[in-house]
Amino acid sequence: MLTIIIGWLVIALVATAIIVITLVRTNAERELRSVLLAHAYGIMGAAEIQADGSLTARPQIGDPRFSLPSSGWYWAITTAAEPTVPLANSMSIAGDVLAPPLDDRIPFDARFQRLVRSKVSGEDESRLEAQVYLGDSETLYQVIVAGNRSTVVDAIWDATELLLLAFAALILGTAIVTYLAVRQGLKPLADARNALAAVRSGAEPEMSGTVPAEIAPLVDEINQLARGNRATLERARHQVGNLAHALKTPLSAALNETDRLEPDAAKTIRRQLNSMRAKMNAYLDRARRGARREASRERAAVREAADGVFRVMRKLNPDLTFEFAGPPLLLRCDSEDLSEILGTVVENAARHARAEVSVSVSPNKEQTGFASIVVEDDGRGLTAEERAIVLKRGERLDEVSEGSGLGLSIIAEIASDYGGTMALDPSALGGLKVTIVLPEAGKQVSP
Amino acid sequence: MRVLVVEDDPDLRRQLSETLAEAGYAVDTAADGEEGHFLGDTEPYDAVVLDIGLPGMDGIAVLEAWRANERLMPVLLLTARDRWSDKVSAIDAGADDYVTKPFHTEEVLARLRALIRRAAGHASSTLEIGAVSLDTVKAAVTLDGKPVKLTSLELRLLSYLMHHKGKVVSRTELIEHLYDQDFDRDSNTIEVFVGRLRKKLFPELIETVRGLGYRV
Repeated sequence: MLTIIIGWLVIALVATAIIVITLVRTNAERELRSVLLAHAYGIMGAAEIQADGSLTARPQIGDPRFSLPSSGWYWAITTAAEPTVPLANSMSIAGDVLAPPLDDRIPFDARFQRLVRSKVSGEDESRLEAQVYLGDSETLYQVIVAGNRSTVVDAIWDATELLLLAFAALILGTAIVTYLAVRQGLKPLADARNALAAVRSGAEPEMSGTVPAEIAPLVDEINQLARGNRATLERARHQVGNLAHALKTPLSAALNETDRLEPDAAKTIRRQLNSMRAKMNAYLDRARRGARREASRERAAVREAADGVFRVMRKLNPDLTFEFAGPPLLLRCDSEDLSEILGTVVENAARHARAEVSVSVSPNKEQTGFASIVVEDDGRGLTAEERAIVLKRGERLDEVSEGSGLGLSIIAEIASDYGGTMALDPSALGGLKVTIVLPEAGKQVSP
Repeated sequence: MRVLVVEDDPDLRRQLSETLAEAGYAVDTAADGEEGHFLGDTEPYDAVVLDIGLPGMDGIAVLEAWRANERLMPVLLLTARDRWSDKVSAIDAGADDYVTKPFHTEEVLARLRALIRRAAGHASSTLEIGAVSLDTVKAAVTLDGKPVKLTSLELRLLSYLMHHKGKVVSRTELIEHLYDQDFDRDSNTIEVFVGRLRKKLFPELIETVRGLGYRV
């Protein structure tokens, strides 16, 4: 775009330059001719024909250039019959012979004048020749006046110099203005490209910000497309979930029916059914992890999630007390995932607790932008070796059988999907202390 | 003890009802939400096994309708969804416990027993009155430590009375909790069973409260 604009500008300027220079040149030529003609009339007026028919002419031409040799300026009077033999001439030329013009074949016009070129003084000269009868003489004389063409060339050069300067300034200015205008004009597009990149990387769900009316429909379309893509993906994940859940009922029926089979057959079928269940869970897990990666804008309240989990736990464990402490924090996390984290950890704590499970939440002191959720119980706790085993059991869902510890390793995985961590320590209450670190919503995360 | 099983899968429904019947419960079944809701709303059950994914009216809606209508029997939800958010909504809807699919029917039975016991206010799985002891897990009765053989209906009668120890239980209430829906009910049979239990255990165990019913 910029190239085209500047290209056109250069073409226009070159054309203008040619026209201007031609005009300057024509004007200078005309000027020179009128000066030469004026001198010619002066010479004609000053020429005198003596009684013997000889010619004297000492015209007082005020121009000193006619006195200087090789100035390119000279005059002479000859007969029309012998134009190379000067009868009188200016001091700037010497000798008995006047060189004919370079283009001698140019005819005289109706006023018996012609403008030719010569190189008598070595300079490039314009020479006006006029054929006249002087006085009463019957002889046709030729009055010759030449001027240095450098005046024309100088005029052209002066004009060209000015033109070039003006044009250079014009081109430079136009280029700068055009570049700025185009960049300003294209800025929304550059912004749109950045916004689109943010959508593609998953940092933003849609292109945002104010856009000019010209590209607003395009941005709308792209957002529709992004929305459509997201809906399709969500539907696909939903279908995976539906399929997996729908299969669990027949799986239950089939597993129970194996009780009626003879032991060997029952064992094989149970193994196969368990493998089916593991694969379903693995794909469910994968779909959830995929969704998790896009859930960066989701936010969940710790207090709310803990309250839900506590309602379940109090119903199922009426003898235990469940305590919550801490400010109302929002985490950058899907609320179902937060419920999963709290539920699994609290359920594990309740399994081992004697009387009390406590959940506390606070902003993380070491990592700004993160919050710590601490779940403790007053059970017998785990030894350092046992804690290491629980954490090391990071195998995937489909590779481990149900049992204690499995839940916690999945929680570590979910936490790490959100850029968080999980740690196990002995609790002051006597049991296990599980610390989960998750990013806080609306906080800048420290590197 | 009379329980209701609401499950749309016919095989699973049969397996559950067989397991529960073997354990000594009178079992009614329903194959969809509407029927399940109607039965639970009108019949006095000691516990309900309710599937969440039902055609027509889903399990959560059935449960909420019961609770809104003051039907407070313990309800065990069966759910294919095993996320914590699902558990929270199950409990919030009024469930007392949940079992996630796939499950073994024995697990449902164990949870159901615990629910019934808890609803009656008993912490231990063994109920004792004098020399009589009832193990609710094994469905076994002992007298002075020696096992006593009881028929299914005798066991149900004894179990119901022992779960409601100290309370006068009317004959109608007993009939409603001992027989499933399709059974040909005859109130005179209650007297026969009470007589047999007194003979097999000891006569003072079951007290007759004239015009009102029985009490242990």
